[in-house]
Amino acid sequence: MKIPRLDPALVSRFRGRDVVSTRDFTRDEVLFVLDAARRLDAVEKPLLSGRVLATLFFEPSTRTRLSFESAMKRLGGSTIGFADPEVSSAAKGETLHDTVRVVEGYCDAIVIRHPREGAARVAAEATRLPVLNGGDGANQHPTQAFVDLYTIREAQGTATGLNLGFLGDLKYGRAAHALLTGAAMLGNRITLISPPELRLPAPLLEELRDLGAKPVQTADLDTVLGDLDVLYVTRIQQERFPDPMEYERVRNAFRIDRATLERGRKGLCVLHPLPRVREIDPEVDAMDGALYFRQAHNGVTVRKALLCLLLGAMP
Amino acid sequence: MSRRGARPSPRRRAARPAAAPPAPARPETSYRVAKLRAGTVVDHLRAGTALRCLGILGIPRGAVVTVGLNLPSRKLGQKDILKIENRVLAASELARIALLNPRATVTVIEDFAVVRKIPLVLPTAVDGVVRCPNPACVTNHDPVTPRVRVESSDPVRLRCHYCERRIRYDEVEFLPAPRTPR
Repeated sequence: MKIPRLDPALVSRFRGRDVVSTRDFTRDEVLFVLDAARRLDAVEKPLLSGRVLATLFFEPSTRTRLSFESAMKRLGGSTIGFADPEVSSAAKGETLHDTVRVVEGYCDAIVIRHPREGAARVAAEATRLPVLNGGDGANQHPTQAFVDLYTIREAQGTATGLNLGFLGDLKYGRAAHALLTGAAMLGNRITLISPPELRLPAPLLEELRDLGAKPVQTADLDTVLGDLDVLYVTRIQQERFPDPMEYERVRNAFRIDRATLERGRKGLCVLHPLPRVREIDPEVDAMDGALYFRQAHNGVTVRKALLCLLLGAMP
Repeated sequence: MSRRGARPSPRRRAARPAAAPPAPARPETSYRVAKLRAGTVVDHLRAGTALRCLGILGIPRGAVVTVGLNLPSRKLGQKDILKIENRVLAASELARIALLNPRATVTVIEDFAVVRKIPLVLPTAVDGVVRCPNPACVTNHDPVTPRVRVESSDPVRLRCHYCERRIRYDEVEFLPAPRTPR
């Protein structure tokens, strides 16, 4: 795919902006972020030299935190922060608002992950700096949605008009929630595959319909597999189950293996926001359509683009 | 007592000589709720919502309020009505009513006459009025004033500004209204 030119009006619209939810972006803005990421894919210039990114992770993270840190460092910037709230003042009872107000004096942008839904919005309202939501409870994970759409476009040549299947924990999976909004906005067909206990919450389903999608819901992957362009597999979010018995009932609901993928359409791509537990058999890793490690690596590219856009350093 | 001061009561009309044709039957609503000298009438509340409406308004203790429940209404079939003496509702109170009853009508009364009709208009966002029903929402844990975005005013469709969850009508829980001084 050729390197796209970026609309200067959109470039300036992103300067200083927050990335809290995919709902905050228009269709054109989503596609613009994908273009910006494509443009920055091979760039490793010190565009963010002297800039500091604060990473406030009140919940465990590997990919999101490390890819943000890698993105910042590859562009010549540096990072500060914590990966464990027990070592921050939150452990002493400091409010999120106060933590953010303090940290804004030490950095140029903030990434936050927090178990409470809406925490990223609270952080964004507490500071004049750009805030990026690295996941807030079961609500949103917008930078992951951009990474997913970027990976889909890289593999399929487009991120619009495809049939995307979402498999697994659609009740608690925030990566799926964020991607679903973005994917519906881009005019993709949506197929939801999950056990009844883990179906997409009704308000989200209604929202997808409002966006013009006509989501199909099923518990049987085989009935829809042949029609899918992309299969987005999610981990069952054990940590969000209020009832451990409920988790035990669904933990082995789906397992994707080589035979599953061979029943799918040619060119079927498998994505997963990772970490996986037992949803995808390791034998799938070597297959052409297994894109989840590529997807994790794209996290750096897309986050480089977002950081450059928000900090006004897009080349 | 009649709500419309000039209109004679049906009883009086019946007592007149038989020359005049009988007036068309009107719902008896007008005669069941006391006439207001000065204050605010909140009319056309959906039947069964007046007491909830009263509960979410910051009506001071000791204020005189007349409540009519399940009155006949040509517009709604049945309706509730509130008459609040010597008080004009603030914008935040009107927003509370509109969240529950977007089609209610609000009139200000002075000296037994309607001096102003206040249109109920929901703002695009309402702060500190509705509690988010999502137990995982940050507003239920941190000292953050809840805010709901109004996605549609009739029917009322709300979304928590913070956790982004849509709030169904039956999930709307109002925060206690601040008590206003008399």
